[in-house]
Amino acid sequence: MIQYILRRTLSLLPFLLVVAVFASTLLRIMPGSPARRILGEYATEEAVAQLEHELGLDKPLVTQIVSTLWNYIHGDFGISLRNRRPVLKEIIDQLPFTVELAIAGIIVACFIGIPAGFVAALKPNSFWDFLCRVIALLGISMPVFWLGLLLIFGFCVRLRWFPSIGAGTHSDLGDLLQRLVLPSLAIGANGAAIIMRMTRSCLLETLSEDYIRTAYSKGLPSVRVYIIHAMRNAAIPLLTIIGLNFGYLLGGAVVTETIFSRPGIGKLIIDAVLWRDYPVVQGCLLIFAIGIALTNLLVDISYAFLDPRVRLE
Amino acid sequence: MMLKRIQALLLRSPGNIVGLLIISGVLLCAILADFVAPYDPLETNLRHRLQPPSKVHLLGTDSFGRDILSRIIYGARPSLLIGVNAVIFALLLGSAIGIVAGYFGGNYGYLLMRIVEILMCFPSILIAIAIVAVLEPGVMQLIIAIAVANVPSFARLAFASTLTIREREFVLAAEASGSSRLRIMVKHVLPNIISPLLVMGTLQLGSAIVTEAGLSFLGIGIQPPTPTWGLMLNEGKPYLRDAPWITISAGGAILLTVLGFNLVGDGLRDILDPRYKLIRGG
Repeated sequence: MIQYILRRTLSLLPFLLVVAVFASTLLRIMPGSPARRILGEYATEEAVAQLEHELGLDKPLVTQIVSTLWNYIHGDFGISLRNRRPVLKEIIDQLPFTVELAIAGIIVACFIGIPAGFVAALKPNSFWDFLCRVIALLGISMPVFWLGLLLIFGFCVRLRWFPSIGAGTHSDLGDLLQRLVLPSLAIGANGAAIIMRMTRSCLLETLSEDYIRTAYSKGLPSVRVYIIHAMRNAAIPLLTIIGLNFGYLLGGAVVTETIFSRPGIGKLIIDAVLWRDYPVVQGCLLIFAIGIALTNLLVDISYAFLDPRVRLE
Repeated sequence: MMLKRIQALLLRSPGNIVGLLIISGVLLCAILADFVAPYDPLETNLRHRLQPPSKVHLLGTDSFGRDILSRIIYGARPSLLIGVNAVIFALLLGSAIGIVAGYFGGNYGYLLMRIVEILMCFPSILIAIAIVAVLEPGVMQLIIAIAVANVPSFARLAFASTLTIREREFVLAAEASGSSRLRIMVKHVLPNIISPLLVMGTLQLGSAIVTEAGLSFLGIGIQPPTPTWGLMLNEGKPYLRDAPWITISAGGAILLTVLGFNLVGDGLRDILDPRYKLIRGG
């Protein structure tokens, strides 16, 4: 098992390497002089040259990539052009808020998606199945930012049940959770719809297998057949979808954080794009990549726990 | 013949008909905006600002007194223009990468697909944000950003489909008869893998439209005063309390359009890939 985990961890390195190379060459793709664009057209030549030196743009491409990668490995993500703070420090300050939001989003998605898919699969083509499928279709088509705005309108402006902006502080857990409800609903709705569809189709496929018939014929109660026999076998593709969804969820975090004026990596990257603070953009991309890589690793390890065949591959 | 069959099968399900009606409606709005829209979408009238829906302004007005309905009708243009072009561009580039990698195979092919898979792990809006960050905001730049973000999904699908076609007799026969590799890929491989790619294209259209609206909403997409749905949501946000109709109508337009493409995409998939029909029970 440990060997399997080690092998999976090592296989993530090429992923991080590609993203790091992409992030470090980001400014090189830009047409014209990035330093000139950051400083504006009235900046002096000296200021432009100095910024180019600071960003490493005066070095040859390969040297720049290698030195940037070296810095990344040593935890040096550069200095923010906006407030001259180390990028890594900026990111670490904001990271807990995004992690909270992403985890809450996944919980919402699973808590709505899995039971709904379960109900739909138990009675395919019934009224409940139809209802779940219509809601799933709406959930998949719903833009995260619109749902977020509607939730603010309904629950903050009209009903006044929740505060609409900010993320609260970590010292006041109740306030923190209260401010997490609407953003996690907004971010998780899309995932809930995808997970619902996947649960339904995986369960339908599993329920037609021979071992399910055998389980019934040896007299097991339905609940046991569904939970132990069917759900466990449907869990593998479901986990893949939940893992994949985490990546999309991080994408959703970018807009959700802006709508709910929450701090976080998503808000940080958008502000950085608007301020042309490229070291921060690069750092955020890398942090997102690390988050996605770690989720994939977690999913891979859970496969091995759920299905012994995976470990022996 | 094939097209007629698909058309007949599509029209059999009520979901598909609703989807086709929605898409036709949005398309008509985009083409005939000059004739259908009751007002000029850029015409400001500060005396009529933030008016609720009424007989004069069916969906109300925004903070500059501009007619929301007209802006929504004109907003169909950039959404469709960017969405359709980005998906066509992604489909062409992605299929080319996938077919070449699948047909030639070997280490380079697999390396190429590894990179594509890595990009696929990244949410498309983030890739688009990274690209928009280095290019100036504009229609062309948005098309490029959204297209690049969608290339990996097409490349992967084309790669997988090419692998199954590559060893089939008709491809081997074409090779034996001396056809060039380019000809085999275009004339023999592509026509046989095009249907799943088209299904994916229809489904991706919805997500491309959402990505464009998202970027415009965040202020890094299309710039004001052009009427786009994402930008309208952005402009309506501060007035959520006093003028919710701005947000509700603009978001409703996005939802409806995406729903239309998803309905038709699902329908096409059921027809072209019978496995899904079984699973989805439709």
